[in-house]
Amino acid sequence: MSELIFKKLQIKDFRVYRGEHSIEFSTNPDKKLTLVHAENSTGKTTMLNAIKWCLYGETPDFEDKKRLVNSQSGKNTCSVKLNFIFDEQEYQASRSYSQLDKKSALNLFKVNQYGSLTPENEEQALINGLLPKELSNFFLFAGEQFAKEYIDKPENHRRAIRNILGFDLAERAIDDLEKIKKDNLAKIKSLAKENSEISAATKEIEKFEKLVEGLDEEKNNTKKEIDIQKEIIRIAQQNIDNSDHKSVKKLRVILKTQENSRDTQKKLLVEKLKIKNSLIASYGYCIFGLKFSKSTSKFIEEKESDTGMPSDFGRTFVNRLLKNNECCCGRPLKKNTIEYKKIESLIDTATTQKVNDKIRYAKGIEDDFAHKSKEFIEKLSKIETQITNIETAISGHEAGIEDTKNQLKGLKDADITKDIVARDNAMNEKSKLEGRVISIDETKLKFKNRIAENERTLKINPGKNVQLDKFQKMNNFIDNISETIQKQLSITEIAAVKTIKDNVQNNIDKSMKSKFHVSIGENFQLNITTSAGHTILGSDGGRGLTQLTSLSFVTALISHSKNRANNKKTIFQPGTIAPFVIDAPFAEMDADNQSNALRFLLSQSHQIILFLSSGQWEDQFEEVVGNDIGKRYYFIDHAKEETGSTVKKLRIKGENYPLSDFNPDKPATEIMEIN
Amino acid sequence: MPSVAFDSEFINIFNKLCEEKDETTGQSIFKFNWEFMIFLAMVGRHKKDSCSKVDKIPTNRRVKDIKDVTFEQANKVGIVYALGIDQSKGGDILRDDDDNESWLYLEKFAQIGIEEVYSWFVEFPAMKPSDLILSKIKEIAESNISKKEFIKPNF
Repeated sequence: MSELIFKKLQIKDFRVYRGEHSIEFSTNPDKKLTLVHAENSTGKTTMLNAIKWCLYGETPDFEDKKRLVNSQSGKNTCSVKLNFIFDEQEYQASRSYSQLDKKSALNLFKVNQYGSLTPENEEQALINGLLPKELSNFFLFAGEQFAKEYIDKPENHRRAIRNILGFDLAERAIDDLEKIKKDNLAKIKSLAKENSEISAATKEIEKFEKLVEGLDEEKNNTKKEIDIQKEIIRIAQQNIDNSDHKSVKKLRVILKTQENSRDTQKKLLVEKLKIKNSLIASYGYCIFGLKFSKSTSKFIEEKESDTGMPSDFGRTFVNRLLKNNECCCGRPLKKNTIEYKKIESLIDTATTQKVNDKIRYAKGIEDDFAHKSKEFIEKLSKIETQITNIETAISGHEAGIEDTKNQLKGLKDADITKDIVARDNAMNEKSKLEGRVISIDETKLKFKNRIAENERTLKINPGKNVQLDKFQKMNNFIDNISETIQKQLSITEIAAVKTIKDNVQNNIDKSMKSKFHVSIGENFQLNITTSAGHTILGSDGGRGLTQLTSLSFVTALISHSKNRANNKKTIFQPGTIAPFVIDAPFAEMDADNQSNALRFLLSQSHQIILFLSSGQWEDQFEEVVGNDIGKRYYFIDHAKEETGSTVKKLRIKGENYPLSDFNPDKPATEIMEIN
Repeated sequence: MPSVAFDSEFINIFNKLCEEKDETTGQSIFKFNWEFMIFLAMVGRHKKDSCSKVDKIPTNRRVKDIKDVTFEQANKVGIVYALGIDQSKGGDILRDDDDNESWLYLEKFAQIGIEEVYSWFVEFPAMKPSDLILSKIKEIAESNISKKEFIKPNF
């Protein structure tokens, strides 16, 4: 395995870098860490992308070529030069861009010990040979982007990972052997035409080979459809993840609680208002009628004590006197006498029981109406206080509801249902298509068995033709070799996966307080699960853990490949190992995880270049990596209008380094080395 | 069997207080017509000592009839008899088995009362009917209570 080492980067009028800037990376194997401290927007990511642009002519985050040349430089061209060492030979890759003809040019030179440059032909092919573009994503990346891409598109990494593992050579050998076998088979078929039995077998082979070809095409198309469904799932999931739906869900629960509380208060208010209104019918007539009830009652009492109400004698009493023919004074009452007629005339004015009852009812209203005024005012006062309190509570809830609704408005919650439906449908469709692939493979296996049967027929009937026999034997030999290599690849892949998994698990166990289970699936997809079996992925599981795990995975993969490369018996040939150049490697991690990540990155890499913002650097890291730092830089921002105490400082080993120094005459960013 | 009625001239007031439902509570101010009649009669009696100058409601304007038995069932006939005694200045009026005169007094004082309530609405057109009536009741209640007995409300 060959190690690529970055030596020096020179940037001229490229993006934020006005004028010429250069930075030398540590090439000392005992001090393999180069640290670059800089604030955001001062050119950290641009420096990483400058390396990518120099090597491949493109970068992931700025395709607009008009903006390649620094706008304040007054120039029409920009360039990036990268000096690197490969197999003890120094090279310089130099890419320039002209704004006038909108073209970029790459030159590659060998650099001799005196610094003289000798041009190399096939520049891009040579660079791609040293570090293929797709492989570069494993070495040159922004920390958070890698973790995300790794999760979103694991299948894209499979080939690169197998390349790092050194499978390329063996796989190409199998392909070549298959081609030879196919050529031989064509010759066998041609030679076998005269033999009817062989001819029939040959025809059968041709027939089934065509069918297999058809199935292969169908399988490829189905896989393309699966890829489309995967993309739909990815986009839908991304929309769901970016939609703030968890925050929305949480706020909706809060909103529901607030609305329930408000509605409860509103119901209570209605009850209180009903009670308040009922006071009108219960007390109104008593209060308005109080004076009348008193005067009437008084009138009745006076009347009763005076002449009686309506008279002071009852009809029963008068009737009894007349019936008994005896007056109340004891004198006899004879009919038709003056006394008798006088008593008889009293019947019309005498009081009856019915009249007495009516008077009693009339008198009774005084008691009914009394004290109602005081009672009414007390009740009205109490209920109005309660209503005021309830209305205040409702206003409070309304304000809270309004606030929560405003918070909800600020969150992205559009079309979640649509995305969930789209995702679920795509998952179902993908599942069906995967079933289809299995079915195709089964049919293909049957057809291949038929081909194998016919090939056996060909083997049984060679002899008659020496040439035929020769090709037959060669194909048998090819089958054996292919099978052996395939078996070896399979064994190696299983062993590699186990070793890498154990390595990542070890890193995670050392880094995390909680226990997580690491597994590696199809396409080398890394899965992390909690002890309860919940899958941790992306934002759902904490980006810090995902990022830590991804970094751990890449370093474990490279470490494993390096160890295996030392085994001389191997039939594999691991590819190039490049330096790790990582921008914001710890963006999502806490300080403990950062220390752990630093440890395993250093222990498993031959050269590492880290771009860190001042906020990502902790004093405690000095103890972890202090002895490994070979070169150290910080960027001064001359465009930031800060002076005096507002200037942010980087503190390293008790020394303060200002991160800004406003000076419009200087380039926006200046690279300073810390010795 | 006697009955009392409202004057159709004031049907709007009747509807406002007995038919229309409050949008918050879903209820009318008076649930029963007899409650409104008694309330109006007492408002009328509070307003005037005599109803002798009030004309009987013409037959063609009599609406929302309430039979005497309704008041009996509500235990409110005492008010009717009291009005009879009050206006006739004696108890002889109660000798009439049907108490026609007493019921007529109730109706006539209700007429005075409804005119009074109407004047409240004219005076305070923007006020919520229930709040207006409660404020009027409160006003009278406060005057009913002697200063010694009066409890200052908490609002």
